[in-house]
Amino acid sequence: MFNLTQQERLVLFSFVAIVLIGTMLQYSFKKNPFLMNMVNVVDSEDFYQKVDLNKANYEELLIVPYIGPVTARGIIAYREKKGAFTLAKQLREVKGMHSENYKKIIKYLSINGQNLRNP
Amino acid sequence: MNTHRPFISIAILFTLGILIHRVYPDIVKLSFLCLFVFLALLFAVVFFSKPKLSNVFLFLAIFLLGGIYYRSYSFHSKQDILHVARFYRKKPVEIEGLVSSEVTRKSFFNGIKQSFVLSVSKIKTKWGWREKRGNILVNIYQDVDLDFKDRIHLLGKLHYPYDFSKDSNFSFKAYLDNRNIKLILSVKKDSPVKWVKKNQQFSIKKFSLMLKKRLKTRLNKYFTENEVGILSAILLGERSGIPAHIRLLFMNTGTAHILAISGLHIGIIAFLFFLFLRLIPFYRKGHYIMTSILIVCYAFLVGMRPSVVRSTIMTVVFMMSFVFEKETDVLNSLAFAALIILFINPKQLFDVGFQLSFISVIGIVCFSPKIYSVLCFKMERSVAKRFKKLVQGFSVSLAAWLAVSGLIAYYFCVISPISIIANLIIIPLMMIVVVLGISFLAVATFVPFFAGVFSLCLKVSLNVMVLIIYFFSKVPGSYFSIKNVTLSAVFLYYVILFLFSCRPLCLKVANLFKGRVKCKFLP
Repeated sequence: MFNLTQQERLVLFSFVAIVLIGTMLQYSFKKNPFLMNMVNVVDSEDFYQKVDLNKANYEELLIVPYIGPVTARGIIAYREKKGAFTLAKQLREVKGMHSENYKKIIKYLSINGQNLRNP
Repeated sequence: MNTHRPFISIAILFTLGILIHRVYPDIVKLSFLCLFVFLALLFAVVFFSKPKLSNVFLFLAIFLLGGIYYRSYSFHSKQDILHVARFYRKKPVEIEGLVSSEVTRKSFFNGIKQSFVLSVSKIKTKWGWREKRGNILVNIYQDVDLDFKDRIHLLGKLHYPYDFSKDSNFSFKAYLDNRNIKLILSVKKDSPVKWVKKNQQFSIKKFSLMLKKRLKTRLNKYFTENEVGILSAILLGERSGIPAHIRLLFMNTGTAHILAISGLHIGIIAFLFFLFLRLIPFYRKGHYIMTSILIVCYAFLVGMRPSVVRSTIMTVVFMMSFVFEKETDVLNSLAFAALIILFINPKQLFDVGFQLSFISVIGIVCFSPKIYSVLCFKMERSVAKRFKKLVQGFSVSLAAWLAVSGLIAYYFCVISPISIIANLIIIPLMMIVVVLGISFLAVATFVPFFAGVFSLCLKVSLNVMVLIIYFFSKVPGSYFSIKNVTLSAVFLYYVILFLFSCRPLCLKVANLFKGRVKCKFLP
């Protein structure tokens, strides 16, 4: 009755281990809510790859999600005409920039090492 | 030991036939091609008693058959919608057809964009409705409840696909063309979508799509939108929801293959199925057969992409080798899988997913033993023995990287040297994510009480994996862009790689020409 095959032992061991670890995690997250934020890498904007708006060339701008050839050329043209970007809202003046795109794009951009935030 | 691998030569010749007719489409008339195949088969039968001669004619027939198959597949009948598309470029057109693929949903600016393939049945002309055929890609910018095999009536703008960026060699137009789709229909937010007939009939595909939807609902309950996007890609084959920044991270570190269901995923899932089936008291061969059936069902669930079909066929062949007590050969079963895929759609040969999927396996099988032996030769024996698993893992990772780098540089203009090390760490983590993911889906369906604790383990392992990939992307020189990679440069790269891997064979051929090796066919 208490004999288990190798497969049964493996399945049972895995199940108990996962339930144990999951329960410990559940307890830890309830007791210390900040741990949940630490674990949440996928949703955190800190882990987006940032491109410097004032230093990136055309190819580097194209790599940024939601920036296509028109927007990339617009950013470079804006820099050449009006100088370096200092504020996030200047990006709205770039040719080809829509308000919805702007909200998505600023997560991937920085100005002189400073991350951009939606004002 | 002389391993018998007939499928390799058949697959190579069939592929060459397809390739030649892609490059030179009108080299010979189709009717003449069929005649040549018939003659080749006839000679193969006439010289049946002379095996070598008969084989030559048989292989010639297979080579020509590849061309015939490709040309007949690419042929568009007079009824095809492609012939009339140019008359509807400037104004909206009414089309009726059948939804013939899964409907994918994506958030798009302030709304929803749904995409699917429509099998056209009618188009409205100024002379009334006319019967037409062909597949088109439909993009609907509204939230409607569409289902597989629904017959619908749409009003939208018909246009040809365009390439978004001329900086890479990846062409969206070619990607759609490989799926026999040459047109896109864009249906606006306020355009009417009418149902002619809702699909009520049961089919395997409809059942698998319904099951996929239910499993995704389980994921939505316990994970955030971004996490669901990644888990849906890894577990359910749905890549449309992967967040852009995550996709970029994986691409830059050369670990994007994790987001596509392929051999490793199927292997892990087959192992899990087999493990659970072994708990049921049944005869051993029955376990292998049941595992094969479940893997095929899983392949239907996640969509039959080339990488999924390849790995499913290879896994089934491997399982059946235990049932029939025969030895298997990886390259032979790989060639068999390639033939199956090319018989279903010969244009898959030019699909980047197909190319990467097969070349990575060929690279691992051919190069990793050689790399491993070189590394063991260079290292001290005791060190090599102690770190055997690590050295093996490194050999596999390096072999795969060497094999896919040429194509990745050509299509995506990026080279990621960091992927050799990144994959050593990420792949074991990915295995944990897949095991936990499948276990979570099973537990959430059958024993929901434990779903919460399983979801936390999965959440932590997924986020740790993404964090490690992020750190790898920050390593200086982890990846770099490469421009203007031509097809001839890629071809030269693979020729050099092949020459290095087949060095003993090349030396033999070289000696043959120098007269050092006797050949019975030469005086």
